[in-house]
Amino acid sequence: MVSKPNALVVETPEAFCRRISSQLTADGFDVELSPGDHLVDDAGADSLVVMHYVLLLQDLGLNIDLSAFDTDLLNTDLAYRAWVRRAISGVSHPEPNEAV
Amino acid sequence: MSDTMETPTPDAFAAVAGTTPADVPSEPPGAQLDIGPEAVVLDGSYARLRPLAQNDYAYLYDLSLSAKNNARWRYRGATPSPERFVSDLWSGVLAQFLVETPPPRKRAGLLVAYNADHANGTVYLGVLIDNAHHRTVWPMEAIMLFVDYLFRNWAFRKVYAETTEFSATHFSSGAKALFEEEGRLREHQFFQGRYWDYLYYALTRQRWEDRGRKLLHRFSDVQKTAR
Repeated sequence: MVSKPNALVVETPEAFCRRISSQLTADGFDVELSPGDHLVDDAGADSLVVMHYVLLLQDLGLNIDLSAFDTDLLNTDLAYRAWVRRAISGVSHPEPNEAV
Repeated sequence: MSDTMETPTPDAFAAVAGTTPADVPSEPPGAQLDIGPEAVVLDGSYARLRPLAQNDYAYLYDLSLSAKNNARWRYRGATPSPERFVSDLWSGVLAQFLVETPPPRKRAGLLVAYNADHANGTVYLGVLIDNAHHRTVWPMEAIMLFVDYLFRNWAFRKVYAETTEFSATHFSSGAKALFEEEGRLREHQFFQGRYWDYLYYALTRQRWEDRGRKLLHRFSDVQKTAR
């Protein structure tokens, strides 16, 4: 198999949610996210889970300004889109929640 | 004043001036412990904790008796007089701090350590955060700064939190990740037409050092990344 160097691999929303859910589970939280889910309203996350989730997104490259976090990224679709934009363009146009 | 009250009351602020305990770590990671000329301030990457001043009392009275907090906080639906409230505010308290938002600093809640049992190494933690900041992340740093302060400054083995079943939904995930349920009084408290369980959680020093403090450090990491 020939691989292209520097090829960008963008995972599906399902895979993105599985990855987030898997990491949250590893951290000790019983959370299963699907595309379109809202972390609090649908998955029932509390403050501690929200904190871990946001720190995970940070690990994935989203520069989130915690002092002005307006909760949009608690929706997995919005988080996924922000992550894709970040993955495609490196440092691209920031989301409203992201620090410039 | 109780002999266990170690955060100064506003009237006693002057007594703190110039004190610098020798055993205070010079630069605790993630939580700058600044014994300044006026008072102890815990400065995080986002949140700030400072001692109460007398002009905070009206804010705390309103916050405690707000519709969402009144049943959860100590009065369980009762409405004490402002004078009684101020007296109760310091009853059994070891240390308490006003929570301030990231800049521009505004009042956002109260953190209190009470019923300290130094012989057995336990203390209770109370958390009251303004509803305007629910679902945001930075208040978690405030809570962790305070827990870290308690473990660094006293030889506590455990920090307890007591709450009703209906309030526990706000942090019950931590029962697996950070703290443990150690007690449950079945159908103990009456609220909105039914009895609810009353829960006791414990965060051990070991678990704080293994897991909690690392989480606290993440806030400073995030802030550096976001710059």
